[in-house]
Amino acid sequence: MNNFFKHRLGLHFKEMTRYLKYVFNDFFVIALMFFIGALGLVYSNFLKEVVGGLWWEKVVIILVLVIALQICGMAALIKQPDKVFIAPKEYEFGSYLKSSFYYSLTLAFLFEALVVFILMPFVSISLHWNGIQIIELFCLILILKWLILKNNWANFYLDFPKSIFEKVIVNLIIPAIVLIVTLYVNLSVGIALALFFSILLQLALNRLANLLDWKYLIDNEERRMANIYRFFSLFQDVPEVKPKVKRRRWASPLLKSVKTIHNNTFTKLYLLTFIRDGEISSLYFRLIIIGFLVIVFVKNNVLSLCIYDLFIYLVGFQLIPFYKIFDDNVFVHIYPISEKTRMYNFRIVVRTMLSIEILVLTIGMLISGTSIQFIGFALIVGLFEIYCLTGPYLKSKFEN
Amino acid sequence: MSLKVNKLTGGYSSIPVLKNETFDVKDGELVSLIGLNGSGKSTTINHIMGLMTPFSGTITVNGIQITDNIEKYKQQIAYIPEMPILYNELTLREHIETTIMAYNLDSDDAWKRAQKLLKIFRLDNKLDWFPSNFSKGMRQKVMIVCAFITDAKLFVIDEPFLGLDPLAVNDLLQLINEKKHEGASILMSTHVLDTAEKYCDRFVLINDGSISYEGSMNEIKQHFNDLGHSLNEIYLALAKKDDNHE
Repeated sequence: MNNFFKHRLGLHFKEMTRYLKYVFNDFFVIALMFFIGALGLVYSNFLKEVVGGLWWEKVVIILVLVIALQICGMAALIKQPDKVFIAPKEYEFGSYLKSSFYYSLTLAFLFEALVVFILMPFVSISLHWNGIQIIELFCLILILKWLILKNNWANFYLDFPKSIFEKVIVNLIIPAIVLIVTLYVNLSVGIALALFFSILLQLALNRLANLLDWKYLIDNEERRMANIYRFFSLFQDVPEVKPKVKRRRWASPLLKSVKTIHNNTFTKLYLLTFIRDGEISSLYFRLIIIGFLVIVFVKNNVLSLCIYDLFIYLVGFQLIPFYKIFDDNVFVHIYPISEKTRMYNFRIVVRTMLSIEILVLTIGMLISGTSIQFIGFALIVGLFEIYCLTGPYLKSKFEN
Repeated sequence: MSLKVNKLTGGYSSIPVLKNETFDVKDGELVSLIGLNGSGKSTTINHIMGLMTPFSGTITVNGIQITDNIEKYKQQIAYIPEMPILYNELTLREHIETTIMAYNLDSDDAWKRAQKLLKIFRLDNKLDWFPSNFSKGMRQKVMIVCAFITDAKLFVIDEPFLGLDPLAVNDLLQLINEKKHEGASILMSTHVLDTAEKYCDRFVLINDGSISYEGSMNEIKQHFNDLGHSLNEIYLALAKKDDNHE
């Protein structure tokens, strides 16, 4: 089981490095360096103004530390099929989870060390603490992290009384109490209190039988990985992130405005899919928001017109391939509806979406102070562009 | 005469899977297509649905070929696929609405029928659910509801009993019976031979892309009287015989 964990960890590292390679591409690293530099500058300027002994300083320290304790949970590295394939070896699974616990603890220690390191100058100025006291504070954080992770681990067993209260108490309330005692009463009392809670938890855990709660284990791990994948998906396509279908009730007036008649079948289908499919709508909204912001801040007429047209083209060009989105659904082919009607319906939907975009971009131009005459000109060019994209271009692409 | 398949030869590429198939389904008749995996049942169905173009031969539904009038041809057919196919982004209610729109049905009448069917299949309180919340059996029931609210003349049902609970199987058979009495034709492909024997009027046995026998249960029993007494026995014996020949 120990080797099995090592194998899993190897696979996990491989996957993470593959994604990290994309995250830390050249441009991002440069941007990150500037960002860290800027943050460092802001922080050092902020430190110059800290005098110490003010009421909010302790509150900030407690808040930062409690939040930092929530990051880096138990990485069990469990996969869905384990429920079937590993279940016969469940009695040996304790050693696997032990390895994953120590792995998670190591990661968490590194992270907490970084947080304490960053917080160090602030703590030493505001509380007038010396190096030894800060090391003691770090030890206290480690004890609290051990407590939280141990509790995470205990949650994996069936007879552990899981509840949201238990999580809030262990993850938030106990660390907050311990840190309040530490900062307002005495550091040693705080450490003693943290140790007391840890011993209490350990005693409770000793009484647990070893039956695993597979559903919780897998759900927990999937949630954890989903968070990681979501972060990576900001930089690239992650196949593991499947955009969820969202009902989006706010769009129902728009949907209701489409009459439920035979000739509107595909108008409704495309519209429903565009609105509810996470991928298409987020692409659409992202492009419109970026376009809007750029146009608001660009003061040059010609440049702003180019951006205006570029964003209409970009959105239109991204939407048009969705004509084929239902093609692997056999029903689309057996409906008694002609291809011509389908294209007509699709055209209406894309034109509606592009018209909304034009409206938003035009408002952007108004805000940036462009003259009404020029906006009128831009509008005509934009509408012509929509006509070209949804007319001849669409036809040439899909009509055979 | 509802469905008439005449000398149909067809397949996926240039190599024919179906060889010179001829059979029909009359008004008010339930006909079962029976054959082993890969014998050509689904390919036959795909040709009838108009999803594939025959190499040669004709398929007519009430005298109309797909090449005569695509929309009119498709309007007459309702389909229940082997694997349920649903739009991830549409709720159950919207699936029914889409079917009503696509087949140009009268909304009130169709919804009345839908409500009845939804109640039978215990889906009436799930109208606002998305497919991701449905189990396999429920998805299959959605397909059945959507097919049976149409006023199609021909129902093509591919392997309808998989994943349905016994109650739902019974309800489906009853629905099929009602449609039969209304004069619709039903073509069904299935491996559940015991059920097929009890309910189907005629059987089309497909083997390796061609029809090896077509007839009612009595005709089959007479024709293969040395092979057994039930469809199951006869079919198993036939299949084993073919296997030995190869």
